[in-house]
Amino acid sequence: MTGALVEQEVPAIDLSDPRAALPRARTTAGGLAKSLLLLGAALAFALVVGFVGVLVGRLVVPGLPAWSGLLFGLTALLFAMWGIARRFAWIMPWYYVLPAIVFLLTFTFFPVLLTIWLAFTDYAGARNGQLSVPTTTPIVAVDGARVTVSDIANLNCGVLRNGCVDVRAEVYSFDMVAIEVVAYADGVLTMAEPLPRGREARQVELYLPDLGFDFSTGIADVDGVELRLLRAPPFPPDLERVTVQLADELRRRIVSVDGAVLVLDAALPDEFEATAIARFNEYGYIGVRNFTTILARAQRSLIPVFAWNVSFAVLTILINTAFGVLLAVLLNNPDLRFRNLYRTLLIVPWALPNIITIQVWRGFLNENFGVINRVLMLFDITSVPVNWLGVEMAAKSAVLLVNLWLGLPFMMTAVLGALSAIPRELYEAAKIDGASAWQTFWGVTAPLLRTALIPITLTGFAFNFNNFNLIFLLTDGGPPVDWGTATARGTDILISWAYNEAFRSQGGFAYGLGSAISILIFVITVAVSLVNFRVTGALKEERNT
Amino acid sequence: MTLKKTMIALLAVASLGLAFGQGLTVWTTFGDQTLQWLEGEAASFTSAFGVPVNVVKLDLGELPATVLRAAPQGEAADLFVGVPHDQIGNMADGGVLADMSVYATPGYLADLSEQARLAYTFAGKLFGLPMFVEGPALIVNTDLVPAAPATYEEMIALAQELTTADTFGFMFDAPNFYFAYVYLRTFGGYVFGRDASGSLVATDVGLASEGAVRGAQALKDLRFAYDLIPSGVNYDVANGLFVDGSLAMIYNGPWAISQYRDAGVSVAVLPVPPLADGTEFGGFMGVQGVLMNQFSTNKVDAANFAKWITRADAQISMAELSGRIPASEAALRAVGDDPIIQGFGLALLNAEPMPNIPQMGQVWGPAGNALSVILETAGSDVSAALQRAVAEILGN
Repeated sequence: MTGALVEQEVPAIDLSDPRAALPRARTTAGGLAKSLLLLGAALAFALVVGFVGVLVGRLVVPGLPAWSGLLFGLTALLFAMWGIARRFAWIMPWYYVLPAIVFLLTFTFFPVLLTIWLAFTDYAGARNGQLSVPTTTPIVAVDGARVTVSDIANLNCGVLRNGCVDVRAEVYSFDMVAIEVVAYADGVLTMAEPLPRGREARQVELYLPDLGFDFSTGIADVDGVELRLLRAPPFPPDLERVTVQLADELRRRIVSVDGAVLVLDAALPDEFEATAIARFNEYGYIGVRNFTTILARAQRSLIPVFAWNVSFAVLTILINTAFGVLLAVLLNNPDLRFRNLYRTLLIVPWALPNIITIQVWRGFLNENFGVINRVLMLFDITSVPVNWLGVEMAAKSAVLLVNLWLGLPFMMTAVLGALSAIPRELYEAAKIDGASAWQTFWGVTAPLLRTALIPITLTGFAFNFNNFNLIFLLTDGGPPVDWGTATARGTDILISWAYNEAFRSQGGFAYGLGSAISILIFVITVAVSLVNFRVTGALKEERNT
Repeated sequence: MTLKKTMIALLAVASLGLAFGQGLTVWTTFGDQTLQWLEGEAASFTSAFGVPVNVVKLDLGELPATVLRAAPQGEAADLFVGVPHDQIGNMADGGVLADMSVYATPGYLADLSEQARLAYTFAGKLFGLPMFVEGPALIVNTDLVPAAPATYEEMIALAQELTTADTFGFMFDAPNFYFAYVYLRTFGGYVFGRDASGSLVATDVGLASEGAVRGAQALKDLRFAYDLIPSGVNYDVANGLFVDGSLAMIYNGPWAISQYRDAGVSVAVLPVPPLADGTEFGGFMGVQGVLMNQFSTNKVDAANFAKWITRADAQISMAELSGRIPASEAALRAVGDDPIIQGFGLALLNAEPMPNIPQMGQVWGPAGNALSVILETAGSDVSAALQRAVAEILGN
């Protein structure tokens, strides 16, 4: 980030009217609203073309991959941009920000909307909108749209928010029939009689005696008694053991449930021999139920985690600032020999990727084999090894310690920069007045550093408040504690707790609950930041300068 | 003119993507020797049927979640090999597993052990073709333990005797619920109760029952009363010590056997000796096999490969290689004389298949936490920790 300044030829600007020097007509002619509208229209057009392109493309080339839609959309976008630019030439500069807008919409706006929506739904692994294969239940009787199933409990309606009412379902007609084969040659089975009508023959099961293996293959086509296999078996099949899978399926919606009878939205055709039915894992709007669940358990998760989260962020800032200022003041002393060497060495933690260094620290902190305990015991500071990552308070200290190591270089560099901006004359004046080093620090350095430090500590606080990397990699939220839950443990902060809820509990797919937590975190973060700004007066000072 | 050219180029690119859809992709959790075994089977399948198979290794920790996320998008493999049966409920509920009852031939089913079939059955459907049964047993270093102890008490005494300056008596990954369950269950605890018809009842969690508390206390005694398992011992530490030859007894599964053999440790496998009152030890056992992606576009070939690697011959070679107990009874008869397989077989006679209902997914976290808290300090309240875990599992 610290690139040297590049000398450039700057064209002379007539300072009497700076605006005249800017290409005014090209930037503002259309106005913000009109420009965004045109860009939005181009994007919408590209989106529609992308979708329609795939749908139409699949009619021509079956199985066209979904990503081809991107190509269609991109082509359409280029044409739309070209067309718009021909009519409204002033829009050209806006095209430079178009990629940024697209990325903003895709990677920020869309996930935020999705999170808000999911927070009010019961989306989870067992309610993910997919067809639920385990609920496939045999059908014992059909009467128009009324279908009687063998075991209603197997449909497991209890896990859906409304039971099975208004839920999509797939009705199957499935049969495995043994067929009589008279001859086989070159991938073609000659049957004694044609297959029963009505259902599609999907698959053939052949026994290959030479391999002792049951071989399945698809069917290329059926012509009367001739059945052509999609793939010829590598060895001759046993003609006595040939079965054909006949299947068909229909999509319906369950309107109501009456005992073991499901009422569908439309009757099944008479010729359709229904054998089984499976429901979909429907999910949908459940209001604020996710939020009430979280708040009901707040005593053991939200509140203690929030308390540690705030103290973690505050303590980190205090400790890092104190050490940063201390080291910076020491290194700022021009009489110190090798100070550039020290500075360089102290920057090292910043230069290494923290994904790696945090895990190295995890090794250092190992109870029996870690270097830290070995050193502590070598110097008789402690006689028993400290269980750094296994005891709540030790783990919390370890988190703060490692975060100090990680955050110090940034703090130190920032303070060094601010120190060099303090005029030397002030120190000279202090010296003449006979101030001690201590008095000079509190009378000169500290007040002048304050303005420079406030924005740094504020951003540091915001960053550490959601410092997922550190917690996840160093302690993984652990150790488990008796006041918490499986997802809210000794060093879990709000964001790691949300991660645990969303991705590690309920089979790893409690997206609804996880989204609700992240919205709560957002609310809390905003509140904390507002308090922060109010207390430090940061917003006010920014405005004054 | 430009438009036409562009369209042609686009279609050419798109059809290129289609050409990839021919072979099979298999995701597996197997590693080392078992991975080589699978790749060998894939090669023989390709030469017999002309279908290329691409084997990709994934961690067990990420496979189920990745499948749940990627399969509906059409981005998951056709088959998943080596997924323990306790993960099936979650994956099946998420709609990503195909019902394999249609592909299981009568011959295969007749030869399948009852334990394996039940473990891979969820909601009345067979959601995979089982390959082998595995679970932990007591593995001893015969150089350090010449004669197997007859009772658990003798075993503990022996372990204490063998815990010296440079050897350890008995260790295992005690804070891990998968291993620790043998204590909880032997003393009377259970994960889920069963109703009259034998189905698991998700609301009846027996991990804080009187028996479970006594079991957890016995586990805690290993650390604080007998000084056998110091704090900080996890799977890697215990396993590493056994590989080095400095640990006499470990409670571990067949996956580790090849590693011990390679390290030159002479091992014997037996059940954990019974308590003085005759109660036999029995913990979890797992069944692994092949699952099929419900969204696979090549289910027929996938079914062939699944049947290929679960045929009896393949199971025999797998068992000989890795000490796993074949799910096929014919294969088991063929390898039954192997002392390692015999030892695991005896140990698993009393074992319970891990519950495969999706609610099991909510057990691991709280149960593991409770064990960590219990093993943390000598003064920990065993009963309270287990009760909190149960409350959490039940969602209170």
